[in-house]
Amino acid sequence: MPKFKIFLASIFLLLTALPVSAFTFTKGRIIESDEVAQDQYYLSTFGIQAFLEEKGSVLASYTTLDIDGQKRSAAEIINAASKKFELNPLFFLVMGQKESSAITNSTVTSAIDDCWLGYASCKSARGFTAQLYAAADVITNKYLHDLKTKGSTVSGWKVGTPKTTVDGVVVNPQNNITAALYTYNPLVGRWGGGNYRYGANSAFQKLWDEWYQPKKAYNYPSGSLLRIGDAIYLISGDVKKPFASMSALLSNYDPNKIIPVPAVIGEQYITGQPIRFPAFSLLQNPDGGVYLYAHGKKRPFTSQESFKQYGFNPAEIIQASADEMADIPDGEPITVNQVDPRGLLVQNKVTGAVSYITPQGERSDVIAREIFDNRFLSLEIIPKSPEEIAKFKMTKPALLKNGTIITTKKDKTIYIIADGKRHAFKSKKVFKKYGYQQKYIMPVSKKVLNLHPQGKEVDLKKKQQKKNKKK
Amino acid sequence: MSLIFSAIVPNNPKIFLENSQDNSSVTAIANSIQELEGELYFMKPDTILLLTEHGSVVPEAINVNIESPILADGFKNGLTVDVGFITQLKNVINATAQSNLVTVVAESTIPQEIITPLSLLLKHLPETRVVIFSMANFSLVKHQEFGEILRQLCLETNKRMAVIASGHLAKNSTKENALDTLCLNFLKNKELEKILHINTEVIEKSKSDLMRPLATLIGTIAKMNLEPKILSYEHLDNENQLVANFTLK
Repeated sequence: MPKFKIFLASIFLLLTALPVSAFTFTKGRIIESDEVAQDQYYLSTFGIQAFLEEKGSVLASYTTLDIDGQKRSAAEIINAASKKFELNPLFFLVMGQKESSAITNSTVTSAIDDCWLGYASCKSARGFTAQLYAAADVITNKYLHDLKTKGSTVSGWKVGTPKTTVDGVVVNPQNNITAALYTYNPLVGRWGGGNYRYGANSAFQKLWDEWYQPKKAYNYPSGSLLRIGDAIYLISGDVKKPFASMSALLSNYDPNKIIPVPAVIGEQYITGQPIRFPAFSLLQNPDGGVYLYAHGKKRPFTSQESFKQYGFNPAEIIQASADEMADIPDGEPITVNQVDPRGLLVQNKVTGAVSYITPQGERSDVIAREIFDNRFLSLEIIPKSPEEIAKFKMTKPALLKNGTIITTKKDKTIYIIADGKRHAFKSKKVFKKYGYQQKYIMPVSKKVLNLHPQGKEVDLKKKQQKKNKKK
Repeated sequence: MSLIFSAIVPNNPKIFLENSQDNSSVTAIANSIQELEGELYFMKPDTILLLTEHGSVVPEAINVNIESPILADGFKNGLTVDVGFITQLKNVINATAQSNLVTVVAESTIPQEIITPLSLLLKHLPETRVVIFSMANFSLVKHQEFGEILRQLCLETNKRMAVIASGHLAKNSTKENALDTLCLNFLKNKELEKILHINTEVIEKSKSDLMRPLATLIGTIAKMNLEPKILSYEHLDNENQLVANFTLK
């Protein structure tokens, strides 16, 4: 039975909610692939909650009875239904917006309360959870099941066979999910040359295009600071580490450089251990041992002498819990007669050259002022004789901090430093799309640029859908 | 990332009812709450965590109310619950070995003992989201440990969080009773940990409903270098009412 009737009731809400932007409707492929439509892990409960909050949705504060009679949040209920019916949670969010503006509406309406997914007549499935389970059940267990087993849905939609929609557009579905969507709602609607009064499947695709990001579409380099939902994270490879204290953030990073990103992008990073303490904090275990928190590790002081030798102040010791300490990986013990575990900045008394001595006792020359300003402003410079400096084994020159954005006067390419390499943005448009700001680009000399080997280009992964737009 | 406000507030509705009468205790409480409310208004939290011994109490677990909105006198649109925070809490709790520590209920109405502190503090911020925790029958130390979980969640969110312990000190007693004396001394001397180890008999005898919320609050604000400031301590309606604020040193 076609499900489009109820759709009429809520369509007018939709027409005002959709922003107008360049959009090309791909009528035969509403979602790029069945795999994407059935990616039940695309958003976690947190991701759904963050998504609802960033859209200002009433559903962010919405609780109702779940299928088991327990009261849960909308995000939890959507996540559970996505898993049960193996559908992408975004599928329901887009459907909910299309049918009842549930995602951008900040107040609850009867359309949201009773019929948010526009399923059937509302009488057979009234209420948030009933709508969700009924719609998900019919899509997965009826339409998609029929397509897989019989090659056609109950109303005759099938892959590779043109059929005319109720609003008079011939559509040749290119995948099962598209055939299922036309069975659910057999209209193209206003954004695809169909009936102007309805949003229908063209509205679904328009919203999907705006909200869906392919996995790894954005590949933020290590050192980037992202605000995802209501938390701030440091990106380190595929991991996002939440900051658990403002001082941990401020001690090492510039909060002005935080980039707000949509929840769907943030979800693609694994959540790592929180960053709880500022760099070089002194932490005390409940059992009494004192550690230096450096470079994400805890380094135990082996004696009071080693603690005193490097000029640490006992008043600055932070009492940490056993759990907090257990979260931090172990580092090398700090003994006497090592290099200061925070590193040293030394200046050659004869030449004036500045070098950084790593905690491991290796010497990295600071070859340019830009590098000094970027990394070592907080360290005191200690004058030393050339002989004393020569005792430290020379290694590669000091590099710029991860996350630093650079360019040179002659070369207009913009780079970001990550893992000691310079990664060029493919274009200025890509740079902007990622959310980086022009004002934080640091001009550097060619010499500094060339210190950093060329890394991977920073680009955007394109969506597949438009390749098939003629179909 | 920010716990911006923490306080102890009474929960007796008579603070409202008797406000118009010439009663010096009520005046002192009302004045101190007004000061607190002004401070809270200035800090503008996104979410308030209210810790109480009232509401749907389940002895074996700390109870959190997920109903949203909650109907409450004085709040025209009801109280909006921070559902996201509860979802996050559930996830954290489920990931630990203490998955029975918290239960979730959905109560659309709440008793006056919960409405009162919220009404007193949110007079000018009625849209602030709330999360209401009804304490369990655990020890004070276990409540403090739960407070530490709340602290971590507060630190990891970018929202501005406030935490309020609500209740009264001793009941059916004068101001000079053992529990109140100990509590006030520990607060004045900034020895919050000692509050957790007050003799159970002393607590039970006092009939206070503040101790478990306070223990949770202590866990939440631990290591934050906050200084307790007692704004008023008065006897009203046969209960000893404490208003206190914790300010950054």
